[in-house]
Amino acid sequence: MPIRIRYLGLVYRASGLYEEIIYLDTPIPISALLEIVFERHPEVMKLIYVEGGLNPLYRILLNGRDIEHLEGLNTKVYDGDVVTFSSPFGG
Amino acid sequence: MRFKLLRVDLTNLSTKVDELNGGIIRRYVGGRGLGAYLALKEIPKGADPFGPDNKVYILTGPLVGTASVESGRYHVVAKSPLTGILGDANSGGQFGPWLRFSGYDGIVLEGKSEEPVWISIVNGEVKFHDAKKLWGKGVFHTEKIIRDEMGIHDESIGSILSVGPAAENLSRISAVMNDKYRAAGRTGLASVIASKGVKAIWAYGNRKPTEELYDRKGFFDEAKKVIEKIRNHDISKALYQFGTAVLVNIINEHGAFPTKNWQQGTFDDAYEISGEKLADTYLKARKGCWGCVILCSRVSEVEEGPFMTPLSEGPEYETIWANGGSTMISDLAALVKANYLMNDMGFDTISFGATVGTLMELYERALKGELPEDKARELIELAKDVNPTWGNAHALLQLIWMTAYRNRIGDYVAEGAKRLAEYFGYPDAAVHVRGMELPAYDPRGINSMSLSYATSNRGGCHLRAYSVSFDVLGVPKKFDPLGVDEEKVELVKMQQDYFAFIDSVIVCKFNTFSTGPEDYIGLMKTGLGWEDYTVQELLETGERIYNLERLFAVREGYGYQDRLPKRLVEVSLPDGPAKGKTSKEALEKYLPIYYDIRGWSDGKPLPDTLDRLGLEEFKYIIS
Repeated sequence: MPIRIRYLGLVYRASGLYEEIIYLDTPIPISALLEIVFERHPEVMKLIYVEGGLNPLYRILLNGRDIEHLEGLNTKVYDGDVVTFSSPFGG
Repeated sequence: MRFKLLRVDLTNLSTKVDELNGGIIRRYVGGRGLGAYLALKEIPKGADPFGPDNKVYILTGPLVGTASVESGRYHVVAKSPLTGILGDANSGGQFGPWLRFSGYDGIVLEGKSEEPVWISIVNGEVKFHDAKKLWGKGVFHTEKIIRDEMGIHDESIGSILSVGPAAENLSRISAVMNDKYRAAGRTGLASVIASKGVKAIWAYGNRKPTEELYDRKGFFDEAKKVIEKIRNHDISKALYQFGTAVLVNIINEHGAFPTKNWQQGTFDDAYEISGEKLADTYLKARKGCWGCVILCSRVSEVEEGPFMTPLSEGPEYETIWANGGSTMISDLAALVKANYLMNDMGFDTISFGATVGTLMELYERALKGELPEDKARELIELAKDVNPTWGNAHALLQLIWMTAYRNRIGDYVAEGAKRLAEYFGYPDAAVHVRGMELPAYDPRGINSMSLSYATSNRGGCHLRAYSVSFDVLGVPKKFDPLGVDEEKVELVKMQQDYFAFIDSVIVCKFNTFSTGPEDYIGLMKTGLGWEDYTVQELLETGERIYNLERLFAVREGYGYQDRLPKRLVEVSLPDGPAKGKTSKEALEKYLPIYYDIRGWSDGKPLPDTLDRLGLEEFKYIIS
């Protein structure tokens, strides 16, 4: 099942990609997806992973909803979902 | 500190200097706050924005041009021709510092000149120059001619504030321009300057504001601490890499990217006009304002093709959204070119793009027979050569010229979205607050913005309170952008007060992502000698300014009602993560709480509130 991953801002710079598709066999939690993403893109891990957890200025969205307002890292991703790694910003 | 204010009487082409005492500065600081105070005292109720009674305050603040980081800014205040209430706008670049270096902390333009003039201010000496040969010329050409005349071609020396043809032709969506690409964009104040016959101001001199500081060494130490906080912050790094345009994809992902004139919350082609795409295509360099360590400005160039554009600054997120998302134009090169032309003609790029989006909707409705028959016929006739349909980049570019010179349909676009939509019989197509077009965040997808927009004193604005910072980014604390939470109200009010101080002192708002009010206390103590200054006084000063601005609207008899446009409260978003949401529930919940903590009733400050803030002299307005 395809999951669309988007990398924005500084995460885009770290991954070198705007978007990629990762294929999963079954639904998995975001925490497991992170392991796959970090393995593919170690620079992303260096960027968003800080001592004690994820840097709070880098937000993870599932279909446009911040996972903090879903089930955090336990939020499961399903067929066709879009997971976005969002960057700090100012506007 | 004494604030040296140059009063320019355009009617008689004469000047005088006022020195404002330290008491006034401590209460209103400078910039936006001082402008609001002076405007409320000096601009008569009911004044015609384009009449001689209106005044334009071009003001710096006590930190401008000092060693305080991000202090290269100035503020413009006048009665707005767009909203009919107090207008104000802020700009970076270099003009603010150079105005102080020229010998003055602010300028007031009064009266009206019979012939166009430009003004030079050099080391305190003021001269009026014939501007007939500049009238009708774009901002870039105007700056070149003035620099030729002054004999200074190095653009880092001296600075020019000017207005473009849009302002000369009294467009209500014009922008005050400086240093070619920087704009005090909102509320149409460039047209007030042009209505007084002023085309440009040249500022140059050798005054050193840093030498006037109370405790120079202490100030440098404090400034250094603030600089380090800003320089090392992740948000500053992101702004350097991608500028504000990084927001295109982020806000689109949240379903709050107003698309097709606020009829959708997401744009399928967002990536095509994003900061990431800009960085990989037309971006040639990064640049900052005077004294900046962030360098968020983009320097872009389109080297070939129909939208070829010379090396120039921009575009910003707001410009890309208004002229791209709102109009569904997905060609980034076209937006770079549009940005360049709008700067040269002197437009507020938010209001301009938003008005073009409104025009595109009206045109579509005219073709479908959804406007009154006579109005539909008139609109189709006026716009037929332009064909303002969704996604038509050539129409956007053509409209910049037509609007600047008020040609055919451009004559109506020049009036802004509200008047355009009202004239053609479909007022709901204009998405505005107090007559000013809303910027690039849909409050149906980021609900704290419903309160930020509705209560913004200058009309629809994201810079009175940038509650996106806590609803989306999580600064200072993360909230659910779709969740109704009373705690957001207190934060919106705090941001409004804090930002009013920031616009008065004056530093860049991008500082506020990495610093808080407490970071400015040391600067005020050492810079101005206010040794007993506290965070509480700083925020109370901001609150005083916010109430002053509101009093201007109350005195005019309109513009104090805190409402959102019908489209946002009655029509739900059809797409994205905020699908099905309106702003109704959030605003109805937030507004009574907001009034309670502000000490207002139905949008008007209560007598006790004015007493508490030391605004007794203005109590007559609410009695």
